[in-house]
Amino acid sequence: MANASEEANDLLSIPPEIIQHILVFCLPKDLAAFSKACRLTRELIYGSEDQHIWREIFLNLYDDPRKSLITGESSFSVNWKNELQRRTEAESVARRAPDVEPHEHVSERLRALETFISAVQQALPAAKADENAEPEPSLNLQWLDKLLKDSRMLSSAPLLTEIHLHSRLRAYISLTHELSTDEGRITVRRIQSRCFVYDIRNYKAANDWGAFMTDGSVNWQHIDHLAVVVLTNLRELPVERETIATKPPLGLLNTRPLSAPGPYFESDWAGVEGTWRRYVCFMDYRDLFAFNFSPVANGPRNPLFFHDSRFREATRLIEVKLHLVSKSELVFHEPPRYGNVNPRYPMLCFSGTSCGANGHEAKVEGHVRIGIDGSIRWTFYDLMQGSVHNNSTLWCSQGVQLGGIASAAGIVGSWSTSVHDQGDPVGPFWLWKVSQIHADPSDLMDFT
Amino acid sequence: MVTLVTSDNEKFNAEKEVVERSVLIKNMLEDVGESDQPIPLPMFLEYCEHHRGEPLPAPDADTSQDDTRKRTTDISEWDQKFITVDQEMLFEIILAANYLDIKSLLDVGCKTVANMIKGKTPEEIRKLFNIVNDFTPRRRCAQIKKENEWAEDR
Repeated sequence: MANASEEANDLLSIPPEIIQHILVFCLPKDLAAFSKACRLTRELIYGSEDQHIWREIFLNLYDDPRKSLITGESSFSVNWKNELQRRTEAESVARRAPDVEPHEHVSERLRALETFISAVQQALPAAKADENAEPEPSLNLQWLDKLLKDSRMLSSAPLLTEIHLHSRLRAYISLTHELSTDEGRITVRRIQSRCFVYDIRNYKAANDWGAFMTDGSVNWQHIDHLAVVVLTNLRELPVERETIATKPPLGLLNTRPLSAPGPYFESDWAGVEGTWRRYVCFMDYRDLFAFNFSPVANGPRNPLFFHDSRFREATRLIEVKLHLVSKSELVFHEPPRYGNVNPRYPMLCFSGTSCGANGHEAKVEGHVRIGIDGSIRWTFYDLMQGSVHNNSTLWCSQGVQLGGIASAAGIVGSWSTSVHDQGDPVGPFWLWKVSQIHADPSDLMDFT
Repeated sequence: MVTLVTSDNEKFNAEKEVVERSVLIKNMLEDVGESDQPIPLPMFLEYCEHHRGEPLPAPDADTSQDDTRKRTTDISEWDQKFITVDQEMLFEIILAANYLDIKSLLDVGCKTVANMIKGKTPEEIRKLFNIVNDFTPRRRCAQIKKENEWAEDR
């Protein structure tokens, strides 16, 4: 009798499946502590290949990766134990980042940054049960946004080996984590980014005249610089003009798949059809030329060029309306034959119009496809009306979706001419989708 | 003999073989073992009474596929008060809730134990549950360290 009552007082006398049920309410690190208590507790955690506890805890904390819209390789199976351990480890790396020397933790940092990017890629799509319902929040993005904001892991200069992962996350964050005390840092980044974006050597045949690597994958460092140039210009936008139709939705939560305004059609996986807003930034051509080729400000290409308080960059907000067309309906460009990375997302072709504050309309066409690295790549051609016979006014822009398919954050990229002559102008753009009801042509503008 | 206690603290003694006619109580007795301890059956009545009218889980609900689940360790105030019992009683409630198949009560009990485990060191966990450290010192040490490396705060 006495024995029996002692037994009831003992956790380990409880059937293992109930202990498992207790453990699924714990946090990952509690599993490790519990496993170290004795042989039996260790057996419960690591003794079998059963993924139950790991899966349940993973799903308590993070989005279900089986529901994600993976654009790259389409088949994958989840090892819940590995994934939960990876995320836990990555979180620790971020949390202690401010207190350690980055170069002493190179491989851990790389693994952590890779884990963060996979968490963005596996974010739960913002699918709504019906038009008025709020979508379920994405646990991945909430977790990552808070973690990177609190830890400030990305505020230190990246190691050379991690620069692409680092830049990619920074591009997703889009300066939304900066504090008011970071003004000085933002100014430094603005100058670095202008130097990179307006350096015409960064646009050549080898990188497809845009923010790409020679193997066709995205050059995230370049994308981050393009984003910073647009964003720092937008910071000078008068506050009273700031609306959802004049400022793209920024930050990790807006990288979520299907977070852009709908409606979505089965045939339009990328959310092409509808109304878009587009910022285009540019330097006066004489300035661009002077920066790249002249000895002005100890140049060429000296950052001092941008320290001059008289320096101005122009920013233009235009509206773009797009609809899907067949490949044969394209008029001023023919997309190359790309390998189909994911049969679920075939290349889509579109055409439409764009219109600026001055009311001048231009014709637009282009295509969107999945790049070899799973990125969502957009190509646009703009032709100014009335100059059909002058090829030099055909502009070509190439960009990458920030985040998943049809993310609210939109597309960041660079523009230039379609003929890519030596010395042709270049600049950044940011394109995002707006809902029809918010699109008021009177808020289109030019500013410097 | 088995003692059943009602919520107003009335005790009933019954022959074991009589109450064992109930399969649930029979299972419970087997699980808890023969004991002088009164079986807290009335607590379930109290619990079920309080939660009367709340939707019951669908019979085939598979928790891992449940879209709307949001598993938190929050426990409602009433449940919190209800479950504030000594450890022995807590385990009994959990075991009984499991056998009586009252999922919400099982969750309340398990969350309570989980909250006790949270943030504790292995040594604190041993102390909490009277667990004896039976690892053989040398051989296990390296393995245990390695398999838990992912959770280290280096």
